[in-house]
Order: sequence, then C-alpha cells, then structure tokens
Amino acid sequence: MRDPRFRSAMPYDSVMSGFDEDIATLSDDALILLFSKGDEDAAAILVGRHLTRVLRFASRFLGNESEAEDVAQDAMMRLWKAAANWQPGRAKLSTWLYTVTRNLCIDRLRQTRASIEGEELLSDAPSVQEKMEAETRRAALHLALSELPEQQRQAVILRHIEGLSNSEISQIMGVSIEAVESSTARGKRNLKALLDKQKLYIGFEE
Amino acid sequence: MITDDDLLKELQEEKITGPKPTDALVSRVLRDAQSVQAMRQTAKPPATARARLETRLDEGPTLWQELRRLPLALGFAASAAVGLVFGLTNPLVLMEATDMSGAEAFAYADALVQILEGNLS
Repeated sequence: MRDPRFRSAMPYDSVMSGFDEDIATLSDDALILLFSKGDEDAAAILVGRHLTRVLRFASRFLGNESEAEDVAQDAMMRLWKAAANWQPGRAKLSTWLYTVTRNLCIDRLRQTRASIEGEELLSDAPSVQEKMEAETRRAALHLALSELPEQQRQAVILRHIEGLSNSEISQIMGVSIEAVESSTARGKRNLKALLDKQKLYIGFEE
Repeated sequence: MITDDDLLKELQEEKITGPKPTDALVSRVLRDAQSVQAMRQTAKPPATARARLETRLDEGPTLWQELRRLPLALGFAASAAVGLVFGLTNPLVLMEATDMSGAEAFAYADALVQILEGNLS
C-alpha cells in the first residue's frame, strides 16, 4: 500500500493532495474497484472528487446545512456499501450520487414536513416578508428556491446551479427529457415571480 | 422586474458560494469507508483462487486499468490483449498490480492458466 498517513481520516484540504499521480488520475470506476479491494487512498480521492457536490446539492435541496451534512454522509455511505457490486460503465458515479442524494433529501423532507405540519398551524413564525428582511441576497434566493414545487426546484438546481445536461437530469429524476425541460422552464418562471413578489430582494434594479 | 440574465447570474453565483465540506464531515465519511472495508473483510466468505479469479476476470476492463499502472517498461505489453493475458499469468505482475501475497498471486496465475487452457481446448 501507499503512504501510511492516508490510512487514517484526513482533513479536507489533504484529500486531493499527496497522492501518486497514477492513482489520482484513475477513473471513478477504477477507484471504486480499488476501494472494494481495501484501498483507502481510493476512498479519499472519491471523497475529494464528489463530497462537495453531494453536500451542495443536498444543502440547496433542503435549505439546511446541518441536515445536508447528514445526507451527504449517508449518500457516501451508500457508495461504500455499493462498491463491492459496482458495475463499471453502467452508471456515471456523479449521476448515481445525485440520484441517491435526491432520494435521501426527499425522504428527509417528507419526514420533516410530517413532523412540523401540526406545529406550523399554531406557531407564530415570521412571515415570508419578515424573513426576507432579515436575510441576505443569497438567502433570499434560497428562500425562493425552497418555495418552488419539488420537481421544479430539483430541475432548476441541477440545470442552472449544478450545470448538468437535461439528459443527466432526466436519469437522476427518473422523468423524460421533455419533462425536465418543462420543469426547468416553469421553475425559472416561478422563481422570477417569487423574487419579483418580494420587494425586498435586494440588488436588482426595478 | 428581474430579467432572465439576472436570474441566471444569481444561480451561477450560487454554484460558487455553496457550502464546502468541513474537516469533521470528511473525517466522518472516511471513517465510514474504513468501517465498511473492515466489515467486508471480516464477512468475506472463503473462496477458491479460481472462483476469485473468475470474478476478477468479469471485471476485465477495470482490472486492465489497474494493470496499466504497472511500469510498462517491462515490455510485456506488445498489445493490450497479449499484455493482459501475460500480466495476469505472471505472479510477479499480479503481486505488484494487486497487492496480493506471493502465495495468492501464484494461485491466481495458476488458476488463470487452467481456465485459459480449458477455454482453448
């Protein structure tokens, strides 16, 4: 095996440095195979390549960084468990991870909604308008995204933030490319309407 | 009124400003990886060298990627196909490519020869 300092958990900034050039340039499929053979360097490189995008996608989807961390950890755990049966060339790892993350987020949102549904009726939560006043421009965008219907939110995030193709998004969401295009277009239209509606969305000229 | 361009610009900026994994999260994820590997090793059923090799042959294209990491200066890879067969039947190459023990590598190479002979006969 290689450098023993990679046998233990590494801080994030070390993940992508210090590897032999040959292993660092291997494909995801090859790294998964190496991992399934017990190579921890491979695990660290996969983490360096994919954890950030998994975390960011979950964070945008859930609007909560703490929950997004749990989802990201869970998604990567599923990868480790799937490694032994991974079939090279069958699926692009990033697409597979987006799909797993999406499903975990949906599960979590359903649980959360179910648990707070009753409480919301009684709570004295600030209005959307009040929340907007207290938030930054970025938070306003997050809030508007969170108000989109689930399908539209996924499509807008995957297309315009993650930069995926309609074809990849259709695989992740399990819908046709036409449905992706429609959801993206409607999502953008609704997002603009939500932001327009919030007069406190700072930074845009009227 | 927000324009399409404004909206797309905001969404693009969001791509750059998303959260970054904390060191604690990376450590947790890598610990998970280690624990899955440890569980797999303890749960692994005994397998014959031949069965294990057949499994590995099913993974041919990826195994080839491993073999590509070898110092090709050895000159054994006159072609991909010849190189693959030669590499897999050479215990020394197997040991270097896959971190097998000497005994394991010789058993694998021997099993492959038998399979190849069986397939060719």
